[in-house]
Amino acid sequence: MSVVGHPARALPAQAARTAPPASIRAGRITRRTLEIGIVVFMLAMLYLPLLLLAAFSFNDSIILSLPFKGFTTRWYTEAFDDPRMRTGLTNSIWIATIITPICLVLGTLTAFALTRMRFLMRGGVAAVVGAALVVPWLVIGISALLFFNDDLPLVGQTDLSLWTVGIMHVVCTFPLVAAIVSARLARFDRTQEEAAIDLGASQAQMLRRVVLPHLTPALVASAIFAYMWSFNNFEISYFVGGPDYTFPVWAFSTLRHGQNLPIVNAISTVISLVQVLLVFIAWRIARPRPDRGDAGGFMPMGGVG
Amino acid sequence: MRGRITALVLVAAMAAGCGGGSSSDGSQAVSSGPPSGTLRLFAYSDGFAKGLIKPFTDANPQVKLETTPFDSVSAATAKLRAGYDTDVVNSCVEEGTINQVKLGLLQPIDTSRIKDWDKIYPTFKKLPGVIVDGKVYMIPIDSGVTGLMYNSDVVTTTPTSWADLFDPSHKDQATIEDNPEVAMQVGALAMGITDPVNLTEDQINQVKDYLIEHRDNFRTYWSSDADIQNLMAQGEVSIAEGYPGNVNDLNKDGEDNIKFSLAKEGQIVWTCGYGISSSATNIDAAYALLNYYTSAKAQLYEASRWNYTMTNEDVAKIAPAKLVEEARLDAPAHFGNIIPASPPPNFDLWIKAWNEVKAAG
Amino acid sequence: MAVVAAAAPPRARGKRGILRRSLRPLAYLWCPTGLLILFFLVPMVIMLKISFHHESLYDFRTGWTFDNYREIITDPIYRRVALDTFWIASAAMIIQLAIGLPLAYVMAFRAGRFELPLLLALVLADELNPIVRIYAWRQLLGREGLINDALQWLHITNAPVDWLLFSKFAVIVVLSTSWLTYTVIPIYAAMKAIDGRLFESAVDLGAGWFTTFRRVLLPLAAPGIFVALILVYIPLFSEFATPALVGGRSGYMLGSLANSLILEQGDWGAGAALNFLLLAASALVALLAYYLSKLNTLET
Repeated sequence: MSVVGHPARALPAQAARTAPPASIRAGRITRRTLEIGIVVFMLAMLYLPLLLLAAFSFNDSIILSLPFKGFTTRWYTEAFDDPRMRTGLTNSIWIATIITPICLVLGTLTAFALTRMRFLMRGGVAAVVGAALVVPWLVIGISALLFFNDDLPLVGQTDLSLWTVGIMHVVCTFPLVAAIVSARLARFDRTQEEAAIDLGASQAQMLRRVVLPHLTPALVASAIFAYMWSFNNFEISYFVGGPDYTFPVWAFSTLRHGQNLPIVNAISTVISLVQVLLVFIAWRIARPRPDRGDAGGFMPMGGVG
Repeated sequence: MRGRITALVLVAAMAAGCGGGSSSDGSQAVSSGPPSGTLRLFAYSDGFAKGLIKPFTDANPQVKLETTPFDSVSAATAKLRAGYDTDVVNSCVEEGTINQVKLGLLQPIDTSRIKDWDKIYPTFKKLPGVIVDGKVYMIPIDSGVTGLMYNSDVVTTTPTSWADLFDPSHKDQATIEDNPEVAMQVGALAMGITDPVNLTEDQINQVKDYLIEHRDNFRTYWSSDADIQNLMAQGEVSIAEGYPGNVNDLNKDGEDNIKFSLAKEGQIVWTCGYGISSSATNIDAAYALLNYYTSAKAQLYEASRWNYTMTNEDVAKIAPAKLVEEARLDAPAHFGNIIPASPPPNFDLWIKAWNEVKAAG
Repeated sequence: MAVVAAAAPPRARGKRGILRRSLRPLAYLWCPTGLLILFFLVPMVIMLKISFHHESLYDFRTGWTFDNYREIITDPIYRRVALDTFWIASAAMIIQLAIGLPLAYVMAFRAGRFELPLLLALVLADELNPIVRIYAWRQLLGREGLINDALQWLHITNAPVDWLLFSKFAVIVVLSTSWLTYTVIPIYAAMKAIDGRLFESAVDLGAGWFTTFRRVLLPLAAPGIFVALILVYIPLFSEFATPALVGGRSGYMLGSLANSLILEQGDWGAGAALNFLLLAASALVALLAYYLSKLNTLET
C-alpha cells in the first residue's frame, strides 16, 4: 500500500483491519525476502569488483589478482608523484564540476519541452537528442576535431583546449540528463499543478514548488551521472583537447606499460572514495530532519507497504 | 531565464576559447643561439616521464616543453590527421609511421643535425618507416623483439619455434597478440613461409586459413602489456607470443616461472622513435629534443626503466652488465635476420584477414 | 482513485496565449538545440560527407561513392559480426531488464527510507575507470579466479570452469554489470511517477501479481523502459573494450570492427559508413520501441 502524501490529495479513510490470515502473511514474507534478495544481488554484482579493486590497490604486485603478495601503498605514492597525473586530474575535476550544473539546466529544459509541449519539430529534436546519446564518442570526437579545425565563417579556426573539451562534454552529456528527466516527466500527474495554479500560484512558483521537488531523485541521479560521464570521458577529451588532457587521457596513455595498471587502479579507488564521501556529505546536509516532517529537497515520500 | 544566462556564459567561453589559444607561441630561433620558445611533444606518456625528460628541460631552460599523451600510435595518427598540430611526434614503425608519412603528417629529417646518427645500429636505420622513399622520417630510439613467453611450470620443455604456439598440446592455453602484423607474421613463420613481410594475396589467405584452423589453441588474443602479464600470471595461458620486457616485469614481480625464449624462425622487431610533425613551428627545439632522445644517457634511462633494447650502440658500453643482459642491449649488434614489424604495401589485406580470424570465433 | 493522466499543460488563454504556446518550446530549447546543432549535427554532417568518399590510407580516390556502404552491406564478415553482436547485446539487455525492472520497482515503492541510499549506491557504483573494473571481473571469472575457487571449495565442480571467462558468457555478464545502472535509473524515474495505489486497486479488482505487472506496471513504466533501451541497448553494439578484454575469441563485436576501421585501418570512409548504418538501425529500433510503448498506453 503506497501512499503519496501531498496536501492536494486527501487520503482515503482506511477501514479498521483485523490481522490478515497466515497465508497472506507468508506471502508478504516471501515477497520481502525476494525484494531484499534482489537488492543484495544487485549490490553484490556491482560492488564485488570494486571491493576487489580496492583490495588490489594495496597489493604489492603489478598483477591485479590474488594471492596477495604483501601490503604496500606505493601505488598511491607513485600515482601522486606524477605531475602529469595531477594535471589531468585537476583538469577533469574542473571540467566535470563546471559542466554538471550546465547539463542539469539544459537537460531539464529539454526534457520539459519534449514531454510537456507539442510542437512541430518535437520528433526531430527528440531524435537529435537521442542520437547524441547513441553515436559512439570516438566518432563524435573525430568529427568534432575536424569541425574545430575547419575555417568557419564567423569564428575561424577554433583553438583546441579545455574549453573545447568542456563544450563537447556539455553537448554529449546534457542529453543524458534530458533522457532521465524525461522518463520521470513523461507521465506526470497534472492535478497538483492545476490545483496550485487555481490557488493562485504563477507558472514559475508552480514549477519551483510543485514540479521540482518531484524531480529531485531524477535530478540527483542525473547530476552524479553527468559528473561521472564528463570525468571519465576519454575519446572526446582526447581528440578535442588539443595539447590539454584530462585524467582518462593520462590514464589510458599510461596503461601502455603493464606496471602502471595498479597505479591507475589506486588513483581510481581514491577518486571513487572521494566521490562517495562528497555525495554522502551532501546527502547528510540535505536530508530532512525528522521534526520538520516536510518533504524537503531530497526525500519525496514514497511509502512502504 | 536560466537558459539565457547559461547561453551567455557559453558564448563567452567560446569567444575566450577562440581568442586566446593555449599553444600560442612558436617563436623560432633562427639556427643561432640555444633553442627557445614552446616545444610541443606528442608521445606515449613514458616519453615524457619525469626521470627521462628532466635532463632535457634542465639543459634547455629557454624551452617551454608542452607534452600531450596518446594511448596508441593509431590514435595519434587519427588525431593528427583530423588536424591536431604539434612539433615532435612519438611514433612506432610497426604501429603506423608509414601511415603518418603517407598522410603527410611527418616531415623529412635532416640527419646531419642529429649528432649521434652514426652511432645508431645500421639495422634500425634501414627499417621501412624510419626511411620512406629514401628520406628519414623517424629517429629510431628504442626497440624490442617478440618471442615466446612460457610458464615453465606447465610448459616443461623450452619452446623454440613459432609452430609451438600451434601445437595441439597447448589447446586453450596459448595466446597471441591482437596485432595484424605480428599475428600474421607469426602464423606465416609457423607455416614455414620464409619471408613473412612480403606476403602475396594467396599467402595471406593461406596464413588466415591456418590461423582459423588452429584457433582452438588460443584462449584469447592479448591487447596490451597489462593484458598479457595478467594472463600469464593468473594461469589463463601458459604459452604466448610476447616480449622480454613482459617477462622481466613478471620476474621482478615474483613470478619466476615465466620465461622468455627466441623462436628459431625469426625475431620480429618493433621500433619506436621520434619524428617531426609537418605542422611543426619550433624546428630548432625539435632537433634539440631528438638529439636528447638519441643520446646514450637518455637511452640508458629508458633501458633501465623499461628494459627496452636501445638503438645507440654506446648504451651497451656504459650500461652495467646485468642491464645489458636483461634488456639485450647488445642484441642489435647480432641482428642478422630480424624481421621488421612494419606494414607492407598491401597491409589493408592483412588487417581484413586478421579481422576474419577474430570474427571466426 | 487518482487518475494519472498525461494531460496537456494548463492552457494559456486567448491570442497572447497561442503566441506564448508556440514560443514556449523555443524559449526552452534554443540553447540546448543550438548547441546540439553547432557541435553535434554539423560535425555529423562532416562525417556523413566522409562516408560517401574514399578516405582510406590505401585509397584516396576523389569523388562521391557508395562503395563504403556497399562493402559493408555485402561483405559477409559484417553480417556475421552483426549477428553475434545482436545476440550478445540482446542477452545483456534482457538480463538487465530482468534484474532492473524488479529492482526499480523495489526502489520506487518498497524501499522506504532506503530509497535514496540505494539510488546513490547504484549511481556511485558506475564510476571507476572501466578498464580497471574489467580486470576485476577477470579475477572473478578466471580459471584461478574467485568464482572457480568457490565452486571447487564447495565441491560443486572439481576442475576450473573454462567458459566463465573469454567467452560470450563473460562478455554478457560484464556488459550487464557495467550498464545496469543506466537501465535501472530511467525505469526507476518513470516508476516514481506512478501512483502506487494503482497496484492496490488492481489487487482489489482481483488481479494476480503477474497480471498487475503486465497490465498496470509495465505500460506505466514504458517511458522509462524506452529511455533505458536508447541509453543502453544501442550503445551496447558499439562496445569494444569489454569484448576485447574478456571475450577471448568470442569477443568480436561491431564496435571492435568500427574501431578497427577508423583507427587500425585508417579507413574513415568505411568507419563513418558503418557508424551511420548503425545509427539508422538504432533509429528503427527506437521508433519501434516508441510505438510499442505507446500501444501499451492505449491498451490501459
